[in-house]
Amino acid sequence: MSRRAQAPVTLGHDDPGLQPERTLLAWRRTLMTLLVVCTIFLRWIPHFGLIALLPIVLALMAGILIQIGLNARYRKSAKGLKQERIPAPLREVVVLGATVIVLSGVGIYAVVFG
Amino acid sequence: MNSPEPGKAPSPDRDRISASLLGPGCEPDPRFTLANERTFLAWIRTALAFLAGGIAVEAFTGDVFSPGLRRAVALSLLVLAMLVSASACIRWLKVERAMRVRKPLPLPVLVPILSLGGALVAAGLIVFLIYGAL
Repeated sequence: MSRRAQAPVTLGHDDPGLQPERTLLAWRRTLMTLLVVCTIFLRWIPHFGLIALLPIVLALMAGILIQIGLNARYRKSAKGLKQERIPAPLREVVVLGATVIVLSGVGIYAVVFG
Repeated sequence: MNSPEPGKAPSPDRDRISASLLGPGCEPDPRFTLANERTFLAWIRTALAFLAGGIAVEAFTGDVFSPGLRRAVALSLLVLAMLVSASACIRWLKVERAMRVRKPLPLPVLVPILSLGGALVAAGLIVFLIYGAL
């Protein structure tokens, strides 16, 4: 908080390539696709029962987690561009990658054993 | 850790896990980090499209395919989704590591595999449409 008081975080940046916006929108598109996948999984409930609920709950939780982090990520990007340094988004990459891998795994399990 | 250039020091908030995963070197140009992030997201969306396709084939094509064929198509799409998402993560990490030490970027191994797989599946579907309609 003290750092924020010294140097107020502004969302402005002077990158003509609009990289922070493009990255933020890429995350949003990905989250929307995740939501679409969730809704298609709903169609499985009559056939496979409650196992189809597991990926939906999981994907929604991951989506909410990433969505919460996105604003902070955008601020970091805008700030990092000014300082010529942005930390690698390791946590976000691992959460999203693991979610899609687990979703596919649950799908494979349901098709093979369902 | 290499001695970083002034103004490009490694970020202080990196914990031990990310330090060991990202390897030596210093933070690359932030535009490159963001570009790598967007490329990862594009691959993840590709994986999600395969995933959605696999789920949809299993759920909606009961009247079109025989149960065995339906299961095979759904399963191959789901395996492809898993493969693409895993390789997206690995590639993101590899590119990030290469950029930190300013080495050439690794080649995308998945691109030829995906093109070949896509062509094979399309050919299979053409055969199915020709002989299935007879």
